[in-house]
Amino acid sequence: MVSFAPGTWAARERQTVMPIGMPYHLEKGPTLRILELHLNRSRDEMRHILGRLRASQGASAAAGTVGIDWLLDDPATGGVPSWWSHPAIQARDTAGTGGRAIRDQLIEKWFGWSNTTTGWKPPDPGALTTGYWIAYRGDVEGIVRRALTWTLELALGLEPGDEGQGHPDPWTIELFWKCPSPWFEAWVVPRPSQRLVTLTLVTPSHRGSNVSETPLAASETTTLAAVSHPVPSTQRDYAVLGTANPPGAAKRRRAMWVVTHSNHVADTAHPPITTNTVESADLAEWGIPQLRIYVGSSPVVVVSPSMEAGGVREDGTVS
Amino acid sequence: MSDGSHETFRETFLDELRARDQEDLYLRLEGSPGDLLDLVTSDDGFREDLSRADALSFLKTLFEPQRGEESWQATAERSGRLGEAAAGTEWSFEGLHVHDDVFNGIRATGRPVVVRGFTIMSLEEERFKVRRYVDWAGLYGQLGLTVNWRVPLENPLPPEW
Repeated sequence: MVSFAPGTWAARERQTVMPIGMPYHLEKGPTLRILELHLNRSRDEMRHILGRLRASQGASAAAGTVGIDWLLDDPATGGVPSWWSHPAIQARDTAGTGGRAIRDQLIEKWFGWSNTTTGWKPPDPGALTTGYWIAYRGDVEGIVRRALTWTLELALGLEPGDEGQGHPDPWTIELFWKCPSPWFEAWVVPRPSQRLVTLTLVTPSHRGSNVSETPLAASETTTLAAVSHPVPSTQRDYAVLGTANPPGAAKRRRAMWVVTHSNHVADTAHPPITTNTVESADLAEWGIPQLRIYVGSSPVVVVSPSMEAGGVREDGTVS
Repeated sequence: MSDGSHETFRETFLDELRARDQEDLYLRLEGSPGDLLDLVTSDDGFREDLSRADALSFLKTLFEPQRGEESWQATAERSGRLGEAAAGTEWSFEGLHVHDDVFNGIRATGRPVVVRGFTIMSLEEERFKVRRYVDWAGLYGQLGLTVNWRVPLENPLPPEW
């Protein structure tokens, strides 16, 4: 049984309202779904969001000015409701700050900025790593801002910096989060024939980001009292292809199907190259450590995770 | 081992001993583990040559030595007899990663590496054995390999599974 002493990092993380990690390697989940809903608006509203992104300068903003206006979104402008005013964020904001507490967590953890008495400051250039990313230092805010800018420009039919007419009807934007990768990068993939732009954020691993050895869910929620990591859940619209729940998988408007073994176990038969690299050997007998060898020996399954575990609901709702 | 996780590089090992004029002596003692250990614990030169041949038999398959005979070096002040019946050698090896595929399948990076290790020789179940404490993490870092940092954890499976 794992317990979390009050005040420890693990205890604090469990109290947060922003997802700190979900049990799969490719995710959308509530946070990115809310951002999708925020971005997919009328043409004029999307152009307003684009304008705010273009005007923000991140860490290169002049000293004494805030470089993350697009992210703070406070106050909301141009008739576009704040990203942080979404009811699902409001509901998760147990501090009652109008979503700012969640926003601030995201800014600190993802981008490494800090809210000081004199305003938001970019990451300390002397810091070993950025935000809550493990073994990575970089301008995450700059990457995400440039990626969102280009995504919106493509969705609107605009060249970089272009103020022209663009598409009369914007294309749809979809977002995914792939983790882990050695460094942070974003992939912007337009598909004109489908009027779709896909932005995939590819990130290093971060604190607390354990994953599940199985894609299958046995829990009603993503949190279990005894463990510190999120687990697959049977919440709304979780589905396993070929089983009774629910029928009509091919007709789902939204899903994220993961195809893999139903479980993965560690190879325990080769300690000298996995868990005990100093095990005794004969002279001139050597092997190269592979650290951990995973074996997917159980049946292959096709699973669409619940939104809470990183998937998406059939109707795309979040609240 | 015959499962593919380990290989024996005996030919290169003997080549390295021959180059140090130690092959005949080793072959005479190879079938007498106790005598071999006695020599290893009493003759620093032999211990070092044996550690060298053991390390180079493998490392040369992975990396191109960069300093000729000086590519592998022992640290005398931190080597010698250990405990009741063992001897250890601290060593380092400088090489260049120019061989494709042999290091767990990765292509040559062209990167210089320093491999650091400590080899302990002793008898285990009446056999002459080595335990090598190699700084694999440091070597992986030099090659550019990273750790995933997302730990897969066991979770409950649904009853039907």
